[in-house]
Formats: sequence, C-alpha cells, structure tokens
Amino acid sequence: MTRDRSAASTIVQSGSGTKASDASLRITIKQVLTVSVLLFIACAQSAAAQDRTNHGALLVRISEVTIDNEHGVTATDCMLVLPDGGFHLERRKQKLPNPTASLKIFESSLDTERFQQLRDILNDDTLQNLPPYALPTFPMNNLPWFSDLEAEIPRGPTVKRVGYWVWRGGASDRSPNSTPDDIKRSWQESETALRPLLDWFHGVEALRLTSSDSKSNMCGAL
Amino acid sequence: VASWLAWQYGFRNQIHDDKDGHAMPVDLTSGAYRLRDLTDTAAGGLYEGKVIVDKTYGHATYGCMICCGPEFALMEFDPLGLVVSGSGNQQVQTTNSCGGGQQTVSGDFPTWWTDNTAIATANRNQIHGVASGTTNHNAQSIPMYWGFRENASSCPQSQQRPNASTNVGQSMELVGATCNANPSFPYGGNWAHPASNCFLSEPFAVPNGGACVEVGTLPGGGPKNCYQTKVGSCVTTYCAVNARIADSACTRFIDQAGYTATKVGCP
Repeated sequence: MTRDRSAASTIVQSGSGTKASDASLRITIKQVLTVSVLLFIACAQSAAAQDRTNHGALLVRISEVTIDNEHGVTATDCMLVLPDGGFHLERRKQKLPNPTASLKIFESSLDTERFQQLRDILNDDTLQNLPPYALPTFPMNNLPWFSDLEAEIPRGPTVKRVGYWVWRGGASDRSPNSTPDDIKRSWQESETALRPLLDWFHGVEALRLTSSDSKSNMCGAL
Repeated sequence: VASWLAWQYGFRNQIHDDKDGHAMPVDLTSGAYRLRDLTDTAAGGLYEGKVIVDKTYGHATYGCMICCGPEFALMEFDPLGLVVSGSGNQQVQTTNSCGGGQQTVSGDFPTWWTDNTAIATANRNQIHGVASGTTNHNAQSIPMYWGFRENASSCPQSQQRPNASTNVGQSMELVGATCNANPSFPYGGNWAHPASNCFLSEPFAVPNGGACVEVGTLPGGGPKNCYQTKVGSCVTTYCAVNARIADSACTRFIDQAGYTATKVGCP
C-alpha cells in the first residue's frame, strides 16, 4: 500500500544523510544502511501483504452492494481499514447494457478525526451486540431493487460479520419476502445500528481521493 | 481395408450394387470408385488406390486418391472460464472434408499444456484453474492429414496446434433473475460471489413481448424466473444459468453464455 512505500522512503532519506570522516567507514555504513533499508522494505511489504489477508490485522471491512434492476445499475463498494488508519477502497459500477463494471481503487490514510469517529462507531455497544448476518435465500425473483451492507469486525481471535438486506417489491411467497421473521427483524435492527457506520463510509467516499494503480483484492476478501 | 474386402467380396459373389443400392451391369469392368480406410479416420486418405478386379485375366485398375479429413482444429470453448481449484473439459472440434459435418477430434490430440502453470494446468483435455488470471491452453495432434478434399498423389501429414484462452476467476451464483422489470432489458440476471461481495448483472438479448414463467427448482429453494416467447407453435424459454465465473477483480464475466434457450415446436 502507499503508506508502506512512503515509510520506507523516509528511512532512505535519513540514511543518506549520515556523515563520517573516514571514506571507507562511510562506505561500510552506507552498505549496512542499504541492506537495512532493503530488509525494512521487504518486511514492510510482507507485513502489508499479511495485512490484506489476515483479518486479525484489520480494523474493519465494509461492503455495500446496491442493485437497481429497474435502471440497470449495479454498484459494489468495499473498504478495508487497517488498525493504523491506512485504508484500501474499491468502487465498482456497472451500467447496463455494458457488460463490464468500472473499477476505481483508492489507497490512503484516514485523518485523525475520521479515524477516531470510526473507532467510536465500532466500539459502540449496540453494534457490538448485533446478531451475525444471515443472507437471504437465493435466487430472488423479480426484485426491482435491493441492497446489502456488510461489515466484518475483529472480535478477539475471530471476525464478527454483521449486516442487513433491504429490498423493494418481489412476490410475497418468494425470497427475500419469505425470509423468516426473526431474520427480517435482525436485518431491521442491524440497519439501524449500522447507520452511523454507513454514513461514515459514505463520508469517506465523498472525499476527493486520488485513484491508485493498485490491483483489486476485493478489500481483503480474496 | 474393410471396405476393399467388402468391395472385392461383392465382385466375387456377383453382388453388383452401388453404394446407393442400384444394380450395376454384370459385365461392368470399369468406373469411378472411392476407398475409405475405416481403420484410420485420422489419416483420412490413402495415397494410392489399386483395385484388382479380375486376377485370372490380369485386369487391374489404378486410380489416384483424394485426400480428405479434418480441416481446421478449433477449441470448443474460447475463452474457457474456470474457478480457482476447479476444472473444465475442453474439446477440439473440426469440420471434416470427407463429410459428416462438425466432429470432435480430441482423441487425436494426446498433448496438452498451458502457457502459465501458475494460473492453469492441463491434464490431457482437462484444464485446471490454479490461481486467478489469464493464460492460454494448447493442444497438439498426432501427425495426420489436415486439409480440404483434394486430388493428390499423397496426403501430407501435419500436426495441428490449436489454442484458446483460459480465464481463471471467482465462482458466481445466481441471486436473482428479473423479467419485464426494465423496459430496455426484458430479461436478465444478477450473480454474486457472496463471500467477496462481488455482484454483477447481465441483460440478455431476448425478443420483446415475452412472458415471465417459473421453471424448475433450484438448490437454494424455489423456482427460477425464466422468460418465454411464443411465435406460432414455436415456444422458446430463456433461463438464466445457475453458476457463472467472474474475473478476480469482479468487473466482468469471463465465461460464455449467461442463459439457456430451449425451443419446443420450432422448425
């Protein structure tokens, strides 16, 4: 991620500023520093790779899907936030009849205020006590519109998956209308509890971010 | 050889019917003929035809052979879509200049490989997805005659080497089908890989004016929403497929058809 590359860059600059009167000593110190920098970069890249795949090292993973079949729009956004405030955001949008979705990827770090807002949201008791997310039964026939929000939050050694499903229309005896009442209630409860997180997510998406040339990793899901 | 024996048997036993069952004159001593080597369809042609009609009086007939056989080798699926850790069978198909239309000739291709084994591997014509990405898979035939039907003193043998693209991605399941929900797209589907929250849609090129019908029962429960058109006695039912494959970045499908079309009572 960008954050790791800039950290390595800082070390290189401080190393190059070392002064020594003896030329050979300077070369030795330079060599040692070069090796150290290379080792640091390797470690940083390794740690970054682990961050993307190790759920224990994430602060939260958020995913929002909205499918508007009436207007032929499928939008899927996801965001991975690391414990140090670095994030990876992917935004996809498919407008039919285009068979391909556009994809934009952003990588940056949260400012202190937004980072604290997120921590406060995640530490809220209501969110912590939400039931695990249950998906509806597939397929769902003839839904003009539906949306899915999911959040994965580490809780000790495991990752808690919360979320909800909202939709419009559909036959009453077909999924998702036919979903058991207790699951529907949990979706409603989760929708209310996750509203601050969704608003926060939309706030980050609304920022003027510079797109990155990083590859998609489905925000750590793959 | 089998044909030749039957042909000779026919002459020796006064069975003078041609291939269409028409009687040939009993004093027939010459005419056009065709030999086909039934034991080696791959070679496709014989470089020389020699038919001894009457050994007693030394009457022999020589003829030039016609080379014929499979024309161009093509992979059935291009691209071939696979999921990681999944496999798919590829087939080599060709038209045959000897007649018989489209044929599968995978048996004549003993050698298969891929350009990047980190993405896909090949075990004969079974291609296995290793990791997300795109690579080519290739096959090579045994030495055999490939080409159009033509007169020749010999039928040159060659080894065809067809290839096709292999796309390895993530599996998608049908999460919804929409019928007459959008005026521009009468029928379409939504597929997802729920674990990665990858969702993609596709409208199908179907005629307007169809009706929504529910067909079958899916593993997830409930019937599938399909689309049906009727022209006279010809009924065509379009149904979204249950499983698809999308690229690892979730921007497009990398398999071929998103629906099936079943016709009943159609010419």
